[in-house]
Amino acid sequence: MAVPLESGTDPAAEDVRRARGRLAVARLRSARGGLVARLRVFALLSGPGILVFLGENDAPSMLSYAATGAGYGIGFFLPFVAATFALGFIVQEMAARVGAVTNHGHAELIFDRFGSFWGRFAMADLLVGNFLTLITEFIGVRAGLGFFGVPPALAVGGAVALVLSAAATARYATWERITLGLALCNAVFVPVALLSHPDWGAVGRAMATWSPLPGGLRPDTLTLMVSNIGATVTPWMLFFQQGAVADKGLEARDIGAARWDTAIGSAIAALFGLAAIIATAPLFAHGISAQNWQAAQFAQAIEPYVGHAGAALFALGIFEAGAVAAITISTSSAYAFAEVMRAPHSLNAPLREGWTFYAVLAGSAGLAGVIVLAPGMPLQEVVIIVNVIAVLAMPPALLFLLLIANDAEVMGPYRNATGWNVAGVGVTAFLILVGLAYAANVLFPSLLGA
Amino acid sequence: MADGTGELAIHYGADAAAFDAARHSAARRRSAWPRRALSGHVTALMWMLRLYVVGMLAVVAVQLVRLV
Repeated sequence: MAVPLESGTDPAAEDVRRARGRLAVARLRSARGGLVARLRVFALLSGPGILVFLGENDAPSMLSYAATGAGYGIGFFLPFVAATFALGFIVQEMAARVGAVTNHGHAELIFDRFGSFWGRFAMADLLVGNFLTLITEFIGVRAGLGFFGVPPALAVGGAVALVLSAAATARYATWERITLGLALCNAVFVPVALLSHPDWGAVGRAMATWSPLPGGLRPDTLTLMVSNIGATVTPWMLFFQQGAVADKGLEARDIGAARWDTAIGSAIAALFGLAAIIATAPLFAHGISAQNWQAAQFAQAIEPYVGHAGAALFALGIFEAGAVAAITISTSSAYAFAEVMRAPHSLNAPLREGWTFYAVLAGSAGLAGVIVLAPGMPLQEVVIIVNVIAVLAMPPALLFLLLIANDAEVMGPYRNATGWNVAGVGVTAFLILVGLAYAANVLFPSLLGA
Repeated sequence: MADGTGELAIHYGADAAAFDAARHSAARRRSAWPRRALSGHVTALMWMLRLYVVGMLAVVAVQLVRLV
């Protein structure tokens, strides 16, 4: 059972703001109404699950999917990427459930239950990984808007301003709606895929048979598989969704809605990811190599097959993916840092109360933006290190999530059911194996003949 | 209400129900979970995790050295 950390329960401004949302939900629930009323309740309770998955469809992820389409066409990777989103759903459902039951973020719970060492480790690990990832997001923003001739300083500066202005609302609900509105623009990859006139029969066969896999299982295919897994299941997602669910004030009775929110998020993010693969598949069909390409190069290369409008939408999609991820990732850093420092950690907190939280949010986004614009920075190396850290940092975060989701003292009747545990342990074991294989590949590249 | 929360409630237009909900939110937010008594299995798992972290840092260091 949770014990009071401070005496008294006098609400702060963030509690009053959170209570407004809870009351709106309570009023709708108490009013008699059918499906429409239930949908309205769901609309109020949803958000973190959709946001976390659309946030993870970030600039590097969408470029990874584009590289997959260009390198392997329509085949094995379509169902493979869809399956990684199913893995993501299993993990994120646990994070949402733990957040709703405990009203605490992931870093805070690790700190409380496993001690300060692991709490600080989880936070530091996340902060470093997130900061490097933020750099890659702004690279995507710069490259995406570069297609339209927007100067890098304007593109990156605009994205940083977007992150800051969303947070400056100091209202979780407003922040969530703004970010969700932007995140849904990830759908632009769908019309690009349609403009590429895909062979729907081939798409159906690929989904049913997990084939073809051109060239078979080569070392670079394995690297791309790891990259696609890393594009769907990453540590910041756990910290973000659990923190956002707590910040929104969801409770145990809202778990059903949180589960639907997460399922819808993973389904639409999978759809948009598959659309990015399909959109660049014509490059494979025409034998065009797309190794180490950036957003503008992909957009220019697919222009003959999808037209100028399609290419422009693709570039816009990469910009959007980077900008939304910059918002969600910097927010997850702010949650983790302020939770461990026992400082107010809410997007409902006024700036003067939550200054630590907002300083981390603004500082990480601002500094990452400056680094991307600084001349001579080794950005390509940063991208490689991001992949290494993202893959290696996932197992510890996931292990703690599994332990907490099974902690009867914390979760009570909401702890993992047997079936969910089998799936959760399976995903964790799989990701640990992937991490170890990736580490072995880094340390001993000759092992896989790379 | 001498602590200023009444003023806060008026400022945000909160009624009695809203204020109760806000108190509920404050109580949940200000709680902490006591440190868990680790079983033998979980203690062993934590040691394995420590080894994993050392290995993870070594891999990152090797990758950094290669890039530099």
